[in-house]
Amino acid sequence: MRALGLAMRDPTHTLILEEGLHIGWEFIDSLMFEKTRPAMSDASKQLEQDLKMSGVQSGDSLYLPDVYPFLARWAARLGIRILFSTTVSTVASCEKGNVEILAHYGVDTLRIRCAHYIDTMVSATDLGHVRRVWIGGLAIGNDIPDTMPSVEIKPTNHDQIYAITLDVPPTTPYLTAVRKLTEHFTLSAGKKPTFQLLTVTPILGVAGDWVDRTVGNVSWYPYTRTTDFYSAIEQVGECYEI
Amino acid sequence: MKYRAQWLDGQRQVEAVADDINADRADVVVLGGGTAGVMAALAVLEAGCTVIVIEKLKTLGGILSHTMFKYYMGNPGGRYEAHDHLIRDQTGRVAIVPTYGDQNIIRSLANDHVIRTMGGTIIYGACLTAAYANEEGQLTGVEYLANGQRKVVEGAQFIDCTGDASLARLAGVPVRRGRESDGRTQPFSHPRFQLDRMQHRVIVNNIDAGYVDERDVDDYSSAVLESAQNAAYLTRSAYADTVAWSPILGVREGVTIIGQATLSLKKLIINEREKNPLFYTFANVDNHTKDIALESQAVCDWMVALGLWAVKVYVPVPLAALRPKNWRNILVAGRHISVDHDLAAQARMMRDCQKSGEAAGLVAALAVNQGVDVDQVDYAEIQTWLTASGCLPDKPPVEFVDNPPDDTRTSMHYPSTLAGIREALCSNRPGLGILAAYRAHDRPQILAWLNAPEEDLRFNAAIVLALWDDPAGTAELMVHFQHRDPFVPRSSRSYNSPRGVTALYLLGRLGSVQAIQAIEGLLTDYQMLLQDEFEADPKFLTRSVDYQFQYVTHALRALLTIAAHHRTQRDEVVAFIRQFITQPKLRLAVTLKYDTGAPKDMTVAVRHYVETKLNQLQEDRVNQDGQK
Repeated sequence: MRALGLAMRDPTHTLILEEGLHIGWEFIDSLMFEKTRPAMSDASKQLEQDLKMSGVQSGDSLYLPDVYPFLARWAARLGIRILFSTTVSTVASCEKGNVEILAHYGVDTLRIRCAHYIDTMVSATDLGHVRRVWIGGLAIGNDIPDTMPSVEIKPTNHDQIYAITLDVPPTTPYLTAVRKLTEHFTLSAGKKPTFQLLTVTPILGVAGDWVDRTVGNVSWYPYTRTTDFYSAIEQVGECYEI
Repeated sequence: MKYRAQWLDGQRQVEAVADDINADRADVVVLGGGTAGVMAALAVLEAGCTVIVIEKLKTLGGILSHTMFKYYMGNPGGRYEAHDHLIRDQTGRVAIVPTYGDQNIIRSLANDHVIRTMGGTIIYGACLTAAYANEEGQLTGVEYLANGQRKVVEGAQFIDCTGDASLARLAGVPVRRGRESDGRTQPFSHPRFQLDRMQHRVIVNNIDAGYVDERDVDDYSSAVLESAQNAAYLTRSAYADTVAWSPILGVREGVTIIGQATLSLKKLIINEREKNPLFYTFANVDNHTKDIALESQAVCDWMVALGLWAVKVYVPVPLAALRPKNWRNILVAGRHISVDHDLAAQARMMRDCQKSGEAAGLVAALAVNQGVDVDQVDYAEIQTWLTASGCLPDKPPVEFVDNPPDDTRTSMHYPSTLAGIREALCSNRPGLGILAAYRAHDRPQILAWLNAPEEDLRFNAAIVLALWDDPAGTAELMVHFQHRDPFVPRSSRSYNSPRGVTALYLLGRLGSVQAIQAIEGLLTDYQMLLQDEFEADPKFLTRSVDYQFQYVTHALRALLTIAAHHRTQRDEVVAFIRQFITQPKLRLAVTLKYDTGAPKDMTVAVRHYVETKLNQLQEDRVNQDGQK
């Protein structure tokens, strides 16, 4: 989301390298079902209008799994350039004060040169100041059980569908976290389930208290500073000016 | 001394490196823990060898864990069945919404648990970056990037289950991609998961999303972004809630290796079967494209002349199709085994990918245990293991399995007698009868049927003759083409062509000069085609533009083929084609399967196809003149 916000300012001179298949996926797939403030910028107001007209956003409540196609259309209309399924391996200075990036797409190594490189990624293990790590998911049911106190359960704007999160220690492997979450949904013998697991997020959610950093023409602007949808798009760097 | 190979800026680069590389080691290294990779790892472990699985995602299972949870093709039998049983058992212990097919979350957990419990090692989130080989030219290790660190894994045998031949390409194995005319592969899908409120289960939206060249990051990225904006995805349903998106595309076809043997549709048609199978692929030739005229002659024969799109076929797969040329310790498993584009649509089903993984894992482990190369493992021993698991049936299955339209009560089978062939050719489901007649090569009998009173028999005899490149049935074909015969045979569940289109294709295939005027007339008035009544097919001829598209593209193909056959008519025909294809108002479109949105504009694609063919004609002419 943060990369989109940065690209939104100057789409023609910005290239997003995305490891996954979906823009904004760290935010969306973490299923941060917080209330959102109104959009502030002209560009994000267009997105807000689309989401409200389609019913994905009602008031200050967004149903995140439905956001992605609208986000894709919005990015395409803005002309934001994205390379998907691309993993950055090396960032190094090169001549004329530029930065050379080696990125892997399939077995191909791409060599990309740019004036400024911004890393918006963060993982649970590579940095201090981690505030919280969690596995998320969706669940469905009539009765919220009182048997899973460590699982946070929030309603969504879809009938009977709840966003669930379970905090895990920061070094927990992803599948271990998935297993822990499913253990909370173990069936009791002879009982019909009234609250069922629906999906599990494909990544661990991470929140931290870190701050933006820039050294030369390389910046680290972690995406996780906010859990508010439009704030996530609109937050831009304070240290870096185009 | 070792050699390190990587792809940099689109070029394969090889450099000499020090021999002593700090590396982890296993007997067998499996690249890609997807549909094939999980079964390969299990087979290796069960044969008593060590294995390391290198996977790019955070979970194992590939398509089965992330995109499509229900088997719909491939034949049962094999190691995967016990694994599926375990998944169903585990699913029954969790309060979890059922999926259409086996539960994907439980599958991801079970894949990890079983492989680790059996002693396997799994590396998640790993991006394959380089391959290492020794001076004998055999693979010694692979390098990957995970969590920002590069590491090397060495092994005795390597199984490429990446789906896109990543390891094989690093090793320098030649690959093929897409159809001959323009390099395009099958449409891909960008799957979305929904909660079906009516049936209370998770379903997958699997909408065909167009074509992509996966090797080109720009093309791929544009396709990903465009496919996410499908009209269906931008509309909310009252009965189904979006709950997640697949982290991988549903890719029906990428690259395939050029192996020691290649499976092909042409071989299937002429009944040239591979010996010593490890397993059989089983599906229809599930081509999702509608621009059939731009496909090979074999595809057009299969779909347009024979009308066998939906008929399910067993194709034997030998070890040689899993073995790249010139490498003794690399096997491939999954959709990128050595199969040509025409048959790739048949050899990509999940059960078949699992079987290829099981077979590759077994052969690699037997080779390690016996200290030999994979081609030195005794087939009888492989056969014993694979038959025991059910991967390979005890006896060869019947080649064809009927797959009729829902409203058809008559069954179709491959006739083995002349009387059976005649009966099939007189029916409205003649496909397998035409194929049997084609393979039987009894020309006098076919010529006799060409003059029979039964119209069906005459037309189908003309098809057989045309498939033999025999023009004796030209007059019969002309009648059906000129009347734009709307009759649609029902050999196949779907994708049956109207007889008028079939006749047009075959007239072109024959290089029929006498058809030129009528074909040019059709193209001149091509907008009239939109007024024709036609029998709709929800998967194929959905709208008038689809019907028009079939006639126009087959007409262009036919003229191009005729021009290639006949030098004296060439200049005139080429001039007509150029005039037609360059007209500014030309618009050709086609709908994609299951896509309810606007038809996809194919004008550029058709122009590209025609221009390529015209350039080939010009080159041929220059070469012919040079030879004179």
